[in-house]
Amino acid sequence: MARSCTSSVIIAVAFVASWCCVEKAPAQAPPAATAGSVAPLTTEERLAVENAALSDARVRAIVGEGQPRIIITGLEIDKAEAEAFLASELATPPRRLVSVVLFNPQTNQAAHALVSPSDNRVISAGSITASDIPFVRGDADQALALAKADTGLRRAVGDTLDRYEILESDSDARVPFAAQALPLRSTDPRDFCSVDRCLDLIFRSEFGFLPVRAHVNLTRRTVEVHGGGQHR
Amino acid sequence: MNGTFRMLRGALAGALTLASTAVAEAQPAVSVTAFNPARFQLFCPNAITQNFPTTGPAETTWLICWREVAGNNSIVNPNGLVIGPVYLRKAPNAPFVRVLWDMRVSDYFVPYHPGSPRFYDLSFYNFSLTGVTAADCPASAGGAPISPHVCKEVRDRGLMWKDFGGVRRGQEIVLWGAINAANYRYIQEYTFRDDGVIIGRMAATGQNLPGDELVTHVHNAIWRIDIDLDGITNNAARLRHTENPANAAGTANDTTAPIVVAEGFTWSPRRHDAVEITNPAFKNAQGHLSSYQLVPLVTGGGLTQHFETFTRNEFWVTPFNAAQFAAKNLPAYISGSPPVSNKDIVVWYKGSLHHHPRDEDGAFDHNHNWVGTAHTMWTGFMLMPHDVFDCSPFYKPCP
Repeated sequence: MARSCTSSVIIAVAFVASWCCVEKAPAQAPPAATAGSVAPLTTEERLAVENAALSDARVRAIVGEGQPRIIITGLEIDKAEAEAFLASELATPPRRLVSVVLFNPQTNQAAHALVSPSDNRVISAGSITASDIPFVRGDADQALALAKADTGLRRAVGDTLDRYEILESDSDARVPFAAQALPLRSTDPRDFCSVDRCLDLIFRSEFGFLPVRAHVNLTRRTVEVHGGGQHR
Repeated sequence: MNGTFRMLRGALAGALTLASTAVAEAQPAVSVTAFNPARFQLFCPNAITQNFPTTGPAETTWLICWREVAGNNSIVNPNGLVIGPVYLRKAPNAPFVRVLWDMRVSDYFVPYHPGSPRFYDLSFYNFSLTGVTAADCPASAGGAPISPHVCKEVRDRGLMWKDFGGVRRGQEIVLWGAINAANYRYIQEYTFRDDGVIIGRMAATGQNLPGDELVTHVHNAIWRIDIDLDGITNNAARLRHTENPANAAGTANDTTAPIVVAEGFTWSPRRHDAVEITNPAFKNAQGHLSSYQLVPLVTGGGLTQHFETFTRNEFWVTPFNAAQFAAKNLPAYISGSPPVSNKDIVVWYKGSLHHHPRDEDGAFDHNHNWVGTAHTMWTGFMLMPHDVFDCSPFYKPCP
């Protein structure tokens, strides 16, 4: 019994010691896998990922000739590798995989590629529809430029229209004239936005949101003004 | 799996058991995937360890990995607060058992009653979490920001039980963040209770849509829940209550129908529809197959469906596929009826908020500016343990 108790204490101490390694990994441990915050790409890694995706034969075959637009959309880890790491079957942490979307406006073809930045290799590639191309800041800026050139919207908003700037979702900045983008989809086949890339722009001044939206079709470069006079 | 690894796994499980100071109980079934705390902490340095009760000897413990995703493509990797992996220790001398791998909102789909607009408030743009401060995550409510965008609250959850012999209150840990979707904020909240229950909820709050402030619409949240009950080899079943009110005998019946291929199905307020997840190797000390049951927490009276096919079911069960995160593609994910028996399974659930604008949301001032904000409306689901514990760990010792 005494031996059993001693063993229990030793193992308990070892267990507590290992538990206390939460804040500081032991010197001999493998590097942190950082699932809680996947390490961001460096500038060099980003360039290498773009080059790997651009030079991949499968990607080129999908998007066709010409310079595609590249959107690095996020970092992922492989579940099977993570499982193996957690089960101590894999010594090294799971690889980071970079998700990349390539869109060629000339051919209107798009591809999604998964790239391993550790060896600059495309793990998988496939075609995606234009409707699966995510909107990014550049789309919002383009929509706002079209909106500012629209006379109907200028009539509705006034001269302050020129002062509006795109406010990104991750910004809590208190800008006095903020424009924000909402992606639009339509199920009505008669609506161009059932196929085209469309955004709604909303406008927030120091007094709150304006009761008007700019309905921007980026594909056709058109703007429609919505709202502005509804009362109950 | 080689013999050496088995031995190491056994040694670790033994260490976890012996390290306990509690009275030994009958051991549960052997865990399929042994838990290695050192590896887990390396994998997830910001993991939260939460014992319950929060003071005194621990009875149950959660290990919760969480992270923020803030990328550019929520179709393939939805932004927001992502929970997982998550492990539960149901008793001080029990091993940690994995419950979740990755739980998050796949999308918010918001159709307006006139047919347009129809917003996908997560998948098509890079909306991400907005800031939290001491104002919305106050210490006085058990809150503490754990990042600039995520709040942790540890709090009393009200009565756990009350009977002839006494009473006990429960506790819970809640993690939440809020997606900044322009005029709206979507609160993503995940609760882990002392009794092993997990609750996922979403709330919509903020300014009604500029230009359509008075137009009724629905906020649908579709959660993607990669549940790994004690490992990845899981099964799903559809649970239903059936009862004929015209039957004078007053009898009722519950059925459990195994789900063998990927499918979607609806929820009915009369049937108590739910999805049960089991692992054939995971049983409690009573020899009962342990499960987690996905139970809708329907608020506001119903769950809406729309023209889009992916909204026509409240539940979907699909095999795990690292490339499948988009709720809008659920019909494609189940096409071909891929098998889900003894597989790594993903469960999807859709909850709805019917938002009929009201004066309490706001009103126009004399300059036609909208003044006001829509207060939070909530909907969500519960993952409830069923035969996971050997008996209630918060009552008398198991008989």
